[in-house]
This record gives sequence, structure tokens and C-alpha cells, in this order.
Amino acid sequence: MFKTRITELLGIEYPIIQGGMLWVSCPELAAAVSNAGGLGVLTSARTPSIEAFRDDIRRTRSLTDKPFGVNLSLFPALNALPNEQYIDTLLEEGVPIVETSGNKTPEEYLPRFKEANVTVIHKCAASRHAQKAEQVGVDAVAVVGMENGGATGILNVGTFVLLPATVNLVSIPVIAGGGVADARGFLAALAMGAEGVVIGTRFMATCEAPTHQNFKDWLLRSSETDTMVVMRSIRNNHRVLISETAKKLADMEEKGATIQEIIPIIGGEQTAEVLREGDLEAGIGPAGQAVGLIDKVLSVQELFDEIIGGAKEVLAKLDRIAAS
Amino acid sequence: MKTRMTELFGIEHPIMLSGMNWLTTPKLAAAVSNAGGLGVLAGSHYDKDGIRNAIKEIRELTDKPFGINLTLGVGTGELIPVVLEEKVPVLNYALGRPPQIAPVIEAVHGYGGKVIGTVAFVRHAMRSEQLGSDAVIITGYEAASHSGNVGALVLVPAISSAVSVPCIAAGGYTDGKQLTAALALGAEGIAMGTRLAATQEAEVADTIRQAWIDADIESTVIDPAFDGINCRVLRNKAAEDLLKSSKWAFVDASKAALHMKKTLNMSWGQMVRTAWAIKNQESGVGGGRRSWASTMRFAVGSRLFAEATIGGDPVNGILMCGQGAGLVKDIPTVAEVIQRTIAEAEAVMASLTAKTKA
Repeated sequence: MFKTRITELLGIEYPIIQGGMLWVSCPELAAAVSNAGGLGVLTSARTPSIEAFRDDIRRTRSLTDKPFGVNLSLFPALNALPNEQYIDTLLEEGVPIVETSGNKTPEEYLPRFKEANVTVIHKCAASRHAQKAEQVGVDAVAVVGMENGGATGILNVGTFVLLPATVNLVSIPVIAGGGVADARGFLAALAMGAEGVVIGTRFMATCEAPTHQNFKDWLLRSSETDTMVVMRSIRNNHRVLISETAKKLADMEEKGATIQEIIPIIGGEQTAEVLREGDLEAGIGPAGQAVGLIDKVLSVQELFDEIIGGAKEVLAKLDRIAAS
Repeated sequence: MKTRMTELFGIEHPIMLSGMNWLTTPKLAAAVSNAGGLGVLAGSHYDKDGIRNAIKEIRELTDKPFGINLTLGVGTGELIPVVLEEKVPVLNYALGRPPQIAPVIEAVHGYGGKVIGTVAFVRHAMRSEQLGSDAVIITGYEAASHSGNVGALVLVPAISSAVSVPCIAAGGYTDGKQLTAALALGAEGIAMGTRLAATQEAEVADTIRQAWIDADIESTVIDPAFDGINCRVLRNKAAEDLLKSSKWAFVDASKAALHMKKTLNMSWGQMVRTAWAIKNQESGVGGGRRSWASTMRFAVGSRLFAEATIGGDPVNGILMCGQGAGLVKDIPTVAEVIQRTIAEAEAVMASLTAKTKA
């Protein structure tokens, strides 16, 4: 059930994609999502080496025989990412699906993907970027509204408006993200014309996520008003949980701190400390507003059962309304 | 289309008009009620004779249920007795503190009317329910005018699972896809602002209608610069000027306050009392009390809102505008908006069901 253009395109059972999340999208999580009928996605950026990246792909494959994807970050990075090498590796390993993310389209890499029959989903935060991605030839776009955790774009448009606007603008399948964590958001996105959803924050609070228990507990006790946006000063807006560190960062930015001054806070290693080591003030902790909808840690399979089972209940309500 | 919202108000479709000062007129509100929705007139900018006449005018134009929207605690105290005397079917309040809200709810219930509280936070929704509201309007981040920072996709499920009264989702709603989405998220209906204002029945200048059509989803900005609390407006010249002019807030604001005093024919005493009331109310959607600078900004904002909406100047006036304006591309009649929204919602529901059975 839940047949959409996205389930057809990706060869999956449910149109639910686990967003690529730095430090979080490990083989165990991605494989669990794919095994549950969605699409698990690994990240390439921040893998310690190309060999480690290759090992992640192989390990995922050993854990699932279902399709999974790899995220390639096209965001500007202080140290350029070896994306060409990641692509060599994922093509050698026969990864069937790639999710690119950033303002820039993956145009330069598309010929290689097309030749290898790799399906490309481009994730962005603006309807015009989605349109551009369609023009260069990606297979699907994912748009995320300002509710999104982590990189959230600088336009501050809510998913509720961004999604229908994007659906009006492009004809390739649209995947919606930013604020989706449960059955209600899943069906709402489909109602607004999405062919699938991308979920991030909710997966950070699953048993299979490699996030530290302290971080999971933080997600559970946070409400929808407990996030804030930082890194506006470098036009790389990130939504994170409110903490002393995040407030200090926002304050430094307000006072005109340079990128060199804020790097010790926003650096990837610091984020890893927060997510993986549970040292919650060591850096910033990415999370979307949907954190307010999460109240327990579930296994990935339980989460899928809840979303799909819940969606049936919501549909029954809609059917009753439609029939009245 | 029946939901708990339609049952509560005795209306045909789960769609209401958002109360918008200056934009909602008796004619527009009556058109919405006649089309099977709930027409609402924002009354806070009227005086007491004005509001009485407006209510009479709505009653001449429709025999269906309608509502009056009042912002409590901002010098609207003299309007409340009129609304109660007239026994308006639905009172929709915004802002206000519990001691102001509770007696109003009791009085409306006394004559069999219904009350809707407008909220942007879970705790305010719970308080509104405790005080006796029959329904709440959930204002998401996408909405025109005042809101919190949480997008509808998260705020609607968060609030609708925290209260048991019917929830009406507001902020950015323009079509049947979004109506279905709101129902999926747990709402029992929607409020439409910009979409129903961009209609033939609305009494606004063509320049303003064109400004809505030209807007895209990125054409608005939310900032406290316009009236002291986070307020979403069209990003035009006047908005850009105000965003830049924060240094001069006090001077600008003082000028505007004097302008308000003159326009509203207030005595000095009334003006100070009004300013004091504005300052001391808990700014329900934004949280916290206003500073004096914020109070002054409220005055500047009020003047500039009037300039846009009455004066028809979408460049030098401030036009409250939601992100949904980017989805508004035509100027149909009110009945067309409502009929096509319902028809589209029914089609979307059928297609969702089909997707799951495939």
C-alpha cells in the first residue's frame, strides 16, 4: 500500500525517506529504514576516509537487500569535500540512489549518474532551486521548509506553503520535508501534492540511530518552540536545539563575529560531540521543530508501524468527512 | 462537508474568514457566511456606534451565522458590551489576559453564542480551553500579522493533540489541498485570510489586490519592527524602511501616536490609558509584555496598516500579508473560493484513499 510516484521510482514500499544527517545516518539506521520499507540514506561527508565510506556502503548492503541511497553534500564547505571520489566509490559499489543537498544543483555530476542508471533526488529549500534541479534533469526533488532541522535555507518559508508552491512549479515527483515526524504530517504532505516525505529529526530518536542517550533524552523533552536558527551571519542557516552554546553563538553572530571566531562552535567535530558523545554543550545540536512531536524512542520498525497504522486512522477520518 | 467545526457553528463548510482589521467588511463577512462558511468581521478599529452599525449591516446581508473578532486589552473595552447586546453568534477574541477573557466568554455563552480564541502556542490554547472557549484558531508561522515561530505542519498537530475543543488552522491556507492537510493534522477546519480578501466582494483597492497576486511565497517578512511584536507583512518599501529605521523608533512612534490621537479623536487621558493598556497586556501570540518602544511601534504600525488598507497604497503603507499570498493568483468571488476549495479537498481525499489501496 501507499503507492506513489516515489515508491515506483525508488522501488520501495512506503514513500518515507530518511534524510541524510551528518554523524547520524550510519549503516545500521539506513538499513533499518530500508528494511522497514522506506529508503535509508547514508551520508558521505565527514566519513573519515574513502575506504571508510566504502565500508559503510558494504556494511549497509550486508544488513539489507532493499534499495538505499547515499547523500552527497553540495553545500559550500571550508575544506572542499572529495565528492568526485565519493561518486567513484558509490558507482563502483553499485549504489542505486543518490540524494544531493544544497542550493547548487548536481548538474556537473548528472552525466555520470545517468550513465550508471543512478536515480538522483535533489534536496533544497526553495521552490526555484527545485525548478532549476528539474531543468538540469534530476529524477525527483525534496523541498524542506523552515521547520527543518540542520541546514534549513535562508528563505524562511513554511513547508505548508513551500510544498504546494513547489508542486505547482515542477512536474517531477516532489518529496516534502521539514516538520514531518508522524502519520499526520505524512498524510498532510501527501494531501498537498507530495509523493513522499523526508524525515530527519524523528529518526534521531530511534533505537538504531547512533545518537547518544543524552541527546535522545534532549529530543524527548524538547517542545516545538525549543529550537532556534543559527549561522545566519554566514548565510548557512541551521536550526538547532536551544542551548547555552547556541545562544552564545547567536550572540557572537549578532555582534559581528567572523567565521574564524565561530568555527570552534559550529565545527563538525563539536557537533559530533553533541550527537554521538552526549556532551550537549560541546557544540550545536541540529533538530527541527518536529522535535515537539516526539515523545518516545522507538525502533525504526515501530516508527514505521506507527506512521503507517496512524495514516490509516487519519484516512478513515478523512473518508468520513468526505462522505458527510 | 461536515466536521466538528461545521457542527459547532451550524455552517455548511469548515472554512471561516480570518478577522482582519480594515480588510474584513460587513459585505465580505456576509458573503462568506452566505457561501456556507463562517464570515468574521474584525471589529477592533471601530468605535461603538460603528461596530453596532456593522453588525446590523451583516444581518441585513445574511441570515447565516457570523462572527466578530476583537483584540482584547487594546482599548476595545467599550466595544464588548455592544457585541454582547447584539448577541453576535460567534465571538473570536485575540490577545487579552484571563481576567479580560473569562467574563466575555461567560457572557457570550449566556445568550447561547460561541467563542473562539486565537492562539499561536500550545499553552495559550490550553488556557483558552480552560477559560471556556468552544474552539481555537491555530495561527502558524506562515500567517499574516502576528504569529509565533512554529510552522503549521508542526503547530497544528501539537495543539490539536493538547486540547479537546475543535481546532481551526490558520496561516497560509488557500486551497483544498491545504484544507485536507489541515484535517489530516488534526484540525476540524481552516481560516482563510489573504485568500478570501483577494476576492471580488472585498472592498479593497485594485492596487492591493494586484500586490497580493504579484507576491510570491518569499515576498513577506516577519519582524517586530512593524508594530512591536512579530508581525508578518508584505516586504515593500515601507517595510524595508521600517526594518532599517529601528534607531528612530521612538521618534517615529511618537509621531504616529500623535497621529492616532488625532485620528481617533482621543483625549490625552484616553491616549495614555490606551498606551498603558497595550503595554500591560500579555502579548498573547508573542509572549511577554511589551516594552515602551514596542508599544510605540504598535502605534506606528496601526497608522501604516491603515494607509495600505484604506489608502490603497501597497508601496508606502504596511500590508499584513501571509506566505500564502504567494499561492493567490486570481480574484474570484467568495463563493468560487469556497466551492473550489471544498471540491478540491474532496478530490484530494479520494486520491489519497486510492494511493493506499493501490
